[in-house]
Amino acid sequence: MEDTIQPSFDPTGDQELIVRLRAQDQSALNVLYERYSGVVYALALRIIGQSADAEDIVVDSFWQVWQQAANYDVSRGQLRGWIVTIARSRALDRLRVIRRAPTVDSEEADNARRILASDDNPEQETWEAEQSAIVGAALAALPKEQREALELAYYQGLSQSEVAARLGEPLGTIKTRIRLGMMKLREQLSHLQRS
Amino acid sequence: MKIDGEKFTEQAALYAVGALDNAERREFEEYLRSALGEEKRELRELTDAASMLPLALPHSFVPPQIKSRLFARIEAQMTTAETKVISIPAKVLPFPEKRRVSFFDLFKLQPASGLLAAATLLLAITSGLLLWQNSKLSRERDELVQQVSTKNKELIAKDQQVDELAQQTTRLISLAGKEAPQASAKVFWDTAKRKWVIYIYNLPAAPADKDYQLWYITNDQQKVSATIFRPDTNGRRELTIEVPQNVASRLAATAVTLEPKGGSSQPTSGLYLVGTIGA
Repeated sequence: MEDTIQPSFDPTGDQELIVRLRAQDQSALNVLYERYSGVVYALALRIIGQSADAEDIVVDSFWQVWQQAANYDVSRGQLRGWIVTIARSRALDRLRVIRRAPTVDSEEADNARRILASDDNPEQETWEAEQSAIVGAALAALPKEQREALELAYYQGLSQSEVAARLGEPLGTIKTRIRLGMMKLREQLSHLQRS
Repeated sequence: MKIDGEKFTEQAALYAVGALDNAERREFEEYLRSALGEEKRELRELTDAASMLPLALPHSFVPPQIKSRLFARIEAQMTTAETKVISIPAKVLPFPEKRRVSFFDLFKLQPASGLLAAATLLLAITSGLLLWQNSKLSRERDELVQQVSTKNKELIAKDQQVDELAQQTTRLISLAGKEAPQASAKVFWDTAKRKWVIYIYNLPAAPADKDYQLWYITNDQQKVSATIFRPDTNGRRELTIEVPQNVASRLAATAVTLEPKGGSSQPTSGLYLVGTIGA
């Protein structure tokens, strides 16, 4: 990973946005949506694999943010983390319903993934691309076994026992892989984390 | 109970990516209630790192209709909220000019008593109005509580339904529109309980003298009536039906037709929705 890569656009002001959201300021939600809808949609699409369901997840997640802004505890972490957690939770719930369905429209999902964003905010686009490159590089730097265990847990909602069963490894091995992988990611991404 | 450093990091890492089993997660959350500041900071860092994982995903085009849907929902909420606001017109009473009251004024009660009576009457009217408003607000509050209670019950029922749909024995059947190309439907088939939960979308309104009819189609091409229904004004309908045992084992397809009101013994129209059922 290139340690010299730094985001050129730091979207500070999340806390101010939360204050405005609590006052039911729709323009604040608009800013938040422009900032994070891309990552929420990509996450939902990655977990569910169907664009129609992913769209529902985006709407429901930002709706929940709008409704529950008053409950957001700034001391518990980043605003992005909160939104991503909401979206992941909703997407995994939906996945559990359709997981064993035989007709997953993977072609539709692939098409959706192939279409690149035509973002009209180049500064935001650059920032997203740089963050994506940094996180992608940090993930690529992990040993394959650690990355695999992390992704099974995070994107498929598997518990450590289920990951162990899926990979045919002892539970202790999976615990270690996830711990080591997360510690490396924390170290590699620490400069992206904002207080 | 204290969790030592490395063990805490391990638990926190597993928690951050959602890999703890339910019981472990509850136990860890209980521990976090009295965790040290340093431990909370470590957990926050790991959680933040985990929340960055989706940033590495390929950037996808976010369809613009998503944003429209979100803000339309908010507008609808705001509109509803506005209609709930009760306007209480402010009533400003002119304050009487201050005047010096002498001991002898106490004996001139005749004009003052009129004013006093008017003020008392006004006070009574205002009190009555406030009581009426209060009563009205109480009723509205009770209605809202009732609505919340109903919604909670619906939510619990939905949760149970989701749990059932997530079972390994549940299969998904997709129905595509034919006579109504924009229509679609999904059937979640709990094969263990022989139960279908059906979600229908964008079906045109049925004429007053007709109903939609859902059919089971068996592998020997028999059409067996499943149910009769009408979609709502948005073309949506949710149905839950039990599949007869003698049909469940022979199902090859399912379809929706538009029939005379009350349904038919055999389909008489083209297929509005149809979906095949694999082996």
